[in-house]
Amino acid sequence: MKAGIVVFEGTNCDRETFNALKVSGFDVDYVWHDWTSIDEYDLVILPGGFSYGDYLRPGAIARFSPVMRAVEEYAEKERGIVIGICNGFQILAESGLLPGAFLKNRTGNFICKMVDLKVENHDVLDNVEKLRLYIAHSDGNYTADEKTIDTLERERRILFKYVENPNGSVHSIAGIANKNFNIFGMMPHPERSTMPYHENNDGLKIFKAVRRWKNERISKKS
Amino acid sequence: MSASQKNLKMPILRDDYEKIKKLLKRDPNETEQYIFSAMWSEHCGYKHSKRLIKEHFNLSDENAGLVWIDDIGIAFKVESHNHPCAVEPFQGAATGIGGIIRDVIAMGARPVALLDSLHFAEPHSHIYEGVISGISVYGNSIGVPTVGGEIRFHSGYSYNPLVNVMAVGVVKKGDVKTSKAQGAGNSVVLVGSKTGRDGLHGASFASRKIDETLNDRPSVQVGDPFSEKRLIEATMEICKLDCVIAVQDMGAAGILSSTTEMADHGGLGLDLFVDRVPLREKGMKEWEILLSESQERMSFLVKKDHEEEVESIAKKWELDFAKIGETTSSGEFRVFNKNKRVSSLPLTLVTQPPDLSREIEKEYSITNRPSFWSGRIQGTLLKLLSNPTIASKKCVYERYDHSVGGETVKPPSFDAAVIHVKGQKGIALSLGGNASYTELNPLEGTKAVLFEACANVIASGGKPLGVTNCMNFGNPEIDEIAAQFYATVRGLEESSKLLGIPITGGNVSFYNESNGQEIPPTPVVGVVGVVEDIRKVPSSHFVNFGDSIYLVGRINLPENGAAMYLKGNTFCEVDWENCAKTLKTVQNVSSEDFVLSLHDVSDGGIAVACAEMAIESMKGVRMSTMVYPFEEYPARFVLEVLKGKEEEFERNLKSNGVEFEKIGIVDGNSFVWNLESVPLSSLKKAYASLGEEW
Repeated sequence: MKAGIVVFEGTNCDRETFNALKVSGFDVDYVWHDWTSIDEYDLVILPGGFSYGDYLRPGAIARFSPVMRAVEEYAEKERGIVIGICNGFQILAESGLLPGAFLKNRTGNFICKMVDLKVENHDVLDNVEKLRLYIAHSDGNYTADEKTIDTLERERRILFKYVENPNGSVHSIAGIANKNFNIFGMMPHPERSTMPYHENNDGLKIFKAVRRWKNERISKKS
Repeated sequence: MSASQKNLKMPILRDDYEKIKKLLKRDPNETEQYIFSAMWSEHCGYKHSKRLIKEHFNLSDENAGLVWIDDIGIAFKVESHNHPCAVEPFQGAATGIGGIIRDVIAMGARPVALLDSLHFAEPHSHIYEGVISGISVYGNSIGVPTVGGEIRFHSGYSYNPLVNVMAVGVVKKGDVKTSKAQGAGNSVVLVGSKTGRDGLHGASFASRKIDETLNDRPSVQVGDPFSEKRLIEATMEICKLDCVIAVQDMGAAGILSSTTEMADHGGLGLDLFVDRVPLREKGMKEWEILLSESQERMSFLVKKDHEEEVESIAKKWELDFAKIGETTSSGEFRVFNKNKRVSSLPLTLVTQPPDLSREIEKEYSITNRPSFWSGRIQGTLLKLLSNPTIASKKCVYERYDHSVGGETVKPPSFDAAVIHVKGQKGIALSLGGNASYTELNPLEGTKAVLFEACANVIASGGKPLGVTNCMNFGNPEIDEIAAQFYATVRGLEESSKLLGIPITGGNVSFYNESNGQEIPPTPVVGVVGVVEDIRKVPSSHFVNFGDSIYLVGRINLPENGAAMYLKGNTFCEVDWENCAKTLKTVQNVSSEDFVLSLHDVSDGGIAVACAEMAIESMKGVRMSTMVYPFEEYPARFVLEVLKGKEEEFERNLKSNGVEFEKIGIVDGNSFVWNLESVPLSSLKKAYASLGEEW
């Protein structure tokens, strides 16, 4: 299975995401932000970092990159799966590919720590109840209007929630899916929990689930 | 005094002016005076330190020190950004990070870790908050994990905080870049941000005391982490080009210092064309362009006619590019503006300021009287744990991204941080100083600081490979300060020789004084060690109930006046040979399977060390020992040994002739010292005094 990691100027989690996908059995390439087609990939990741310095708002400038138009088309034709991690999630929200927006953390500060997550959608993450992953962000306080949250809850599009809300996110939401379940956004960093020397390997569970989801759901449709 | 010197707005010492005039056999013009004012400043020229450091440390001319783990080079260096942080703490700290990162990338190394040694008068002050925010915003954005360091408090830093940053990078053998120019007729190119008037006089500002009546704000540079991140990536790509001969960062005195140093290291001359420098502001004078300390710029020496290869990488990362000069065989440093020559000086005159360093020897007393403790410990223990220097810094480290890069094995907590390098191998990194020690006795205190940094590396399963340092002092023109500096240099030299670890780099910051107050002498020492097997890094908190707790190192101690609980007048006599033996023995035993946790004993003695190990895992201890709970002495460790393996462990230590004592066991949920019991919850509360939440 082929994965592409999109690199914007200011992206800074590209190399560890590359390594994490390698150990998860993917063939991996970097995708530069000016590419106009990404159809050769089964999985496309928008990794963490500070694209364009997070100037204006996190993700607000990256969303205008040529590659984001390609990501939109890729998702529309359900070619494969798109995952936005941290800054990638913020870019997807700014692009309107996922609902909601991000505010500054409730503490006003950047937070880097391990957090416990409770899995909400067991179709995507089968046999996984809990996850413990790193968060590392200043603007991780997810927000959306009540109607959107109701829809997310009803359509079971909330992937996981924080056990102890670290940043003020509404309903403790830490990760969501789009309506078609082929675009995912998550604030925690699965790539930082994939190596023998990491505190745990919960990130591998996520990449394994993605692989299964792509095989069972997306390939069936296409 | 000549008319032109009278008009000069910045200070150039009269002595220097006369010297220059005599050597040139003419008056230096305005541009030239500015050139000397920067290059002969303490900050660029190291007039009061360079010779002593060269003679005592045997250093190379390169941008950072280098040690090797197989075919992987570890480049590392510490630099201070004290003066800017005193005036504008946020930007001061941010640009301090940016500057030291560029030293590491100039070696062709990819930065993998940052550590900060921060010294303030008090927590939660304007300066404290600003510095921590600056590190957080800049370091997090460029994607280099901040994995360690220290935050210490001392009333001597109320006007002059110390912000010393260490950057660590990795580079493959064969990819190491030099700052040494080669060959006349090659091109000096600039890559990075545009040049503006920011940071003008930064070098000379950092070479004098801070005067509150002067407005120093324009001397502080402003950082843009987004440009730095692009500059890092572009530099990594440019360093792979065969046409790149030399690389140099732009720090103090900007283009001027960067390019002349590169030429000087290669024994060449240099022509610079200031009109080709991409500018941010209109109407800048030649000297302003030369001296500007605009951030996020690098210079490269590129083989003639290969400039386009560098330019295309700069374009990819949307960075400015310009060919601003070329090397010559003339030995002259010439500056041109639109084909008009505005300066012509012998290059070595510019790069070799007069030597003002002094060997002033002073005796600092040491005493050898027995230490004494009796009675309860609870009050002192809680007071020490909540002392801001000892208290947990978790609330600060959570504001730094310490796991970006995905290579962090041991995040910031106790002792040294560990970063994965290749296969099973990693590096252990430590950075620290201790003004209470060095102000009582700069010679012996400095040795203790180096031993402490090595002990941290060893406690994290590492073997020390190399030492770097940043030495922070007041005004070196004062005899007392010059003596402190000389003692510090000798202390570092002697202790590194005793431990058999080379000093690979050094940085000096003088003139840390304002309002008549000088900082205590504060050498900050960074140590890099190799961890042969990252799976064997011992825990730094207690693991199993029932395991034995040992103290390894000297048992009966002399009274140490620098100890946190005491604050006396004299430093104690230390048997350094014995301390070195202890370090070596613990280093060897640390990877044994029966050593489950390991922590170095420093501020607050063994009671604080054991409390820290207990708080982290909330496993209690039952101690039964007559050793003094709070006394401090170098090279002592607390080890948790697996139950049933005590004999094997003791045999190992005895064969090495190292002192040790079993002092307790891991047990229950209280901290029991002999018969006195303190609940872990009260220790935890005291230890969390710096931040509201854990």
